[in-house]
Amino acid sequence: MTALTIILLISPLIGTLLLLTCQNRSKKYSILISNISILISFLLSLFILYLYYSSNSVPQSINVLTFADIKLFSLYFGLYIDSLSLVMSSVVTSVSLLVHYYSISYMKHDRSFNRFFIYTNFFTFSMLLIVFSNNFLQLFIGWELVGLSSYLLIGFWIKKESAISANYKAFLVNRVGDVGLLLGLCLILLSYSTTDYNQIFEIKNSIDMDRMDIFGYSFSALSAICMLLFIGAMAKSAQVPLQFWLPDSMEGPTPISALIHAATMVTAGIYMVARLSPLYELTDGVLIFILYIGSITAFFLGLVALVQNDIKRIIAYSTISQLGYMTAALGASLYSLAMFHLITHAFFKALLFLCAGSIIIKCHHEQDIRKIAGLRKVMPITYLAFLYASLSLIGFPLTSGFYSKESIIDAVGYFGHTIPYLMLLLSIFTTTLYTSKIFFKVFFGKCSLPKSEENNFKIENDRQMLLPLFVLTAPAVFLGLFIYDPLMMGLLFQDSLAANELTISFYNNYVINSLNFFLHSFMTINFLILFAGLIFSYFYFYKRSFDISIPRFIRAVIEKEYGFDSLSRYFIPRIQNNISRFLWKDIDISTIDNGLINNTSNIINSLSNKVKKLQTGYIYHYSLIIISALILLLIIMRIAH
Amino acid sequence: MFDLFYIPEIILSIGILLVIVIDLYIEKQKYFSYLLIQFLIILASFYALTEVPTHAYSSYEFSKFTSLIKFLLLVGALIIFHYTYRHLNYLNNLKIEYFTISVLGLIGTMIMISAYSLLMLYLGIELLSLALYALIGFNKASKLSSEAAIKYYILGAMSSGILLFGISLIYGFTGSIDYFEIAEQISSVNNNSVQFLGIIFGMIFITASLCFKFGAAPFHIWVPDIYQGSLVSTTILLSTLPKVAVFVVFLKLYFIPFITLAFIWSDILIFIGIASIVIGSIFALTQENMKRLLAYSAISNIGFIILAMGLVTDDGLNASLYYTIVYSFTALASFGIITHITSNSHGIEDISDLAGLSKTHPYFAILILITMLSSAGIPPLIGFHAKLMVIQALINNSYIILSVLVVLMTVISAYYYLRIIKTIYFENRENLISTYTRNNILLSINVILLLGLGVFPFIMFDITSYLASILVDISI
Repeated sequence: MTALTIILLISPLIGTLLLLTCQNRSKKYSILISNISILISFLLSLFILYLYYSSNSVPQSINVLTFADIKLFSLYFGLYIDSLSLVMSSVVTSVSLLVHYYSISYMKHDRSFNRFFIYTNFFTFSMLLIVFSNNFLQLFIGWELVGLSSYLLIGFWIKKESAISANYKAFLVNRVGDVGLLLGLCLILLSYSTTDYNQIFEIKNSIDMDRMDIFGYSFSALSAICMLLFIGAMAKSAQVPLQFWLPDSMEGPTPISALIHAATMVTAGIYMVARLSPLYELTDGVLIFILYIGSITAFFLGLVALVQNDIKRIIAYSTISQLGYMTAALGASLYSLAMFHLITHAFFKALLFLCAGSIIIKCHHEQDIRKIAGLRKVMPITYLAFLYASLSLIGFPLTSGFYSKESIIDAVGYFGHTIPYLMLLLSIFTTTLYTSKIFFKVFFGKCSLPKSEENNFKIENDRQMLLPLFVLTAPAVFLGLFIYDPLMMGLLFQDSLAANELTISFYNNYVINSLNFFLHSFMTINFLILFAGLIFSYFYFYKRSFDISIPRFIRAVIEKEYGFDSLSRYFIPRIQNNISRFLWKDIDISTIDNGLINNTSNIINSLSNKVKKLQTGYIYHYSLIIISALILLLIIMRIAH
Repeated sequence: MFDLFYIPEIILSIGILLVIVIDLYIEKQKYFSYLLIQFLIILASFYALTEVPTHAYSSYEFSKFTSLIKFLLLVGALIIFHYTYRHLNYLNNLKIEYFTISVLGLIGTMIMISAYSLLMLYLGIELLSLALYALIGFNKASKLSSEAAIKYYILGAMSSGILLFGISLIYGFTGSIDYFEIAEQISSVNNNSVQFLGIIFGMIFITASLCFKFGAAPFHIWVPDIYQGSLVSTTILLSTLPKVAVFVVFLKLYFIPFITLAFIWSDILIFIGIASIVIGSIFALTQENMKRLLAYSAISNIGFIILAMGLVTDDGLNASLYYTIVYSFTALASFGIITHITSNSHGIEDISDLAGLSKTHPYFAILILITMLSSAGIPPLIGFHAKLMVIQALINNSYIILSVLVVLMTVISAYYYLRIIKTIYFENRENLISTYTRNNILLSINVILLLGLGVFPFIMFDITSYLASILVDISI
């Protein structure tokens, strides 16, 4: 199993290296290498997952390769094989595989075709490195590599001004999170002297709850660690207040958005917290913080999606909002529910993005939904796929999204977190609204395409772009139903996640079984809100039977993302610019470069030029020097004794 | 006494005399004579390894240590001759005398290594020096070459005088020239007596003379001129074989007869070492001539060796052995590469002659790159470990300030090594660079060893600690 997992992990890396070495080969070559390397990973993921569950294996942590071993800690490459990592790797590789396949057609006219696949392969590898990591250093390395590859991919179109500023922004915001992660890592080394997950899980109970004072507040060491790590997760998983890079990341190619949003990047934060759930269970106050951050993100960023008009940006805000749900579930100690929503979300969000990509290609890179309309007849397959994905997103009963999202909302309510519960509940309404907004505007009404293309049903898009839509629809809609019962009974992640008993008690007392949950849902307030949202948007977006004018002020606040936008666009850059300019001009150039470095080298150079004259070339000078040196030695001897 | 015939010195001496005679008859077939000499060396190196008589003859010593060092020297000579033959052939300056004289010098180094009395040591040094005088002046067409030979001859004579004066002082105050007896005498002498002072004077005179042969500051003054004046093939000889031999002489002198005077010579050696490192690093900075630059680099490397030896501890001894072997390896590679290249139809003189090498001869450019990086002490190349060991030994003996100084000097010296790389890779100048071969397996192996032994430094650690352990055996 270990060997197979290693192959699984390095297959995308080998793909990257092969692609790197053969940059000048044909497109077919890039396609083959990249897709096959991911396909191998995907098949192996499924196979190992099957092996794992069928043989009732136990979690194992294997150190494969040691890089450095010093007193304080050792740096090694290791694998953590358990249900969590295997399920996660299956999700990552399956979405990645479909995105790769989809990209063949989406990117076919791009000049940097090969470069695209180099990046995506590397992206997948980096994510898998995080997923299978069994120690914090490897996690950190993977974390950075994911950041790097996302940076490269968001700015893939290097000549597009907005793409460059977007990837810069994404990189910088992620650096903020990385600092948190790095500090957490340092604190772990300081208090545990190891970076291995298992060893830390073992000594977590015996840890003397060192109190440490930060800004006048006293924390236990473990809480401080978890808090710092969560800051890293906040940046990666786009939680308030570090969420503003994600909508801008839409500047990259659409398949990349699918990859970032569904599988390889934003889920890393959620995954890390779930992976470290045994630690988070022992903290005081951190989980409440996570819960509130999650629900605030879910509600307020959902609102922002309402006022957007770019199809990809709407879906991006919806991702942030859905990530808020997952974070809230983490905060309520419902780790398996968070993972469940992560999985279902990965599929329906990937599907949404791929549909969006298909629409964008069809409309010649038009992304403004005010200018797209009436595509239902022209793109029947995309239409259906989008419909199913939307239903799943809004949590329509029986779909995957229904099971994962409603469970989170109900469970948060069930365990008595009233304010987060209300926010998550209201969020259903906004989710319904912005989803229907895209749906009705894009697919209904008068067709926006030129007449010549209007009735051209036969070429909706390349088959390579439509196949992934078909394939993704199945898990996007039905996966939830299949794994709901075993998951809620704690069978799926029983060996890897902490606090399973909470989920189980919720299941036994509230859900009972998936069918009951389905029937029961029609009598809950959740469904009422959902239904109200649907009715409202039917009349508002489709029939246009009434018009609501939102006050300008509120609209402006929401559009500006509650000020985060200007914060990131104007204030922080300005302050940073001034500091950087000072460091550059005054510190670096005048003090260090000219003052220290150039001066020193000038002094040494002139010294060298001067002493060179000692070497006259005359034998009598040389003899004199040798005799004086001899006398010098004798003098030294006398002085020394 | 029959086994005496098999010792490498005898084989080489008799063999080389025969070759001189044979060469008279087959003057046209130079390659044959060359092969004969190479065969002689192989034979000698074979016997150097196999014959290990455990007993020491008076004034001459055989031990595992000396045979191993001799073996290394012979292998080195084999490689140098290989480069030399092709180099001289390429320059149309091929004479078999060059090799016969070199072999005589080689015999001199072997006598120095085995010497167990001061007179035998002097004999070896003179034999080596005489050979070198001839080799340096070998390039009769060049004024610089003759000038270098004269300079080296006069200064060498002076240094021999100093050595003899030191030896006579030692003999006068101890009544013996045998290492072992000198050691016994010194240990029984009162520290405040005139006799003691005389012995110290003698020791310092000998040290000065040996430092001259070693090319250590402040007796380094001849090194750049002589390196520059002679052929590259002579330079490669000068910078490897005599250095190793003098190093062994240093070890044997200080750790056998003068071991009880360690508290005096330790300071002196540390001073010489630091002076060499500083002078070698700073003088080299503004050199334009490639051979002069490498000469100063050699001086600073010698400084490292002497500095480590001056610590009088096990790790210092280890470090100096390690450094010597690494230095010889690196010098073999760096000068060896230069023997292969000509620029504008003469040998490499200035650094700027190498500009553009990376485009026309990427193979040699890579070799120089690796060699220079190793000399600069960049990990994971072997030069890094050598410098690291010396600095570590310094720190272990709490010479903190000195170690900081040494590190600073290493940084300075990195500049001129990197300058060569910069010239090769980034400067565009029209040079007619040509080489007489596309690649050379020996050279490649040499350079790959710089890298490989750097990645797996423990192989070399084991070798040097073994050498150090057998050295300790004989000194007791």
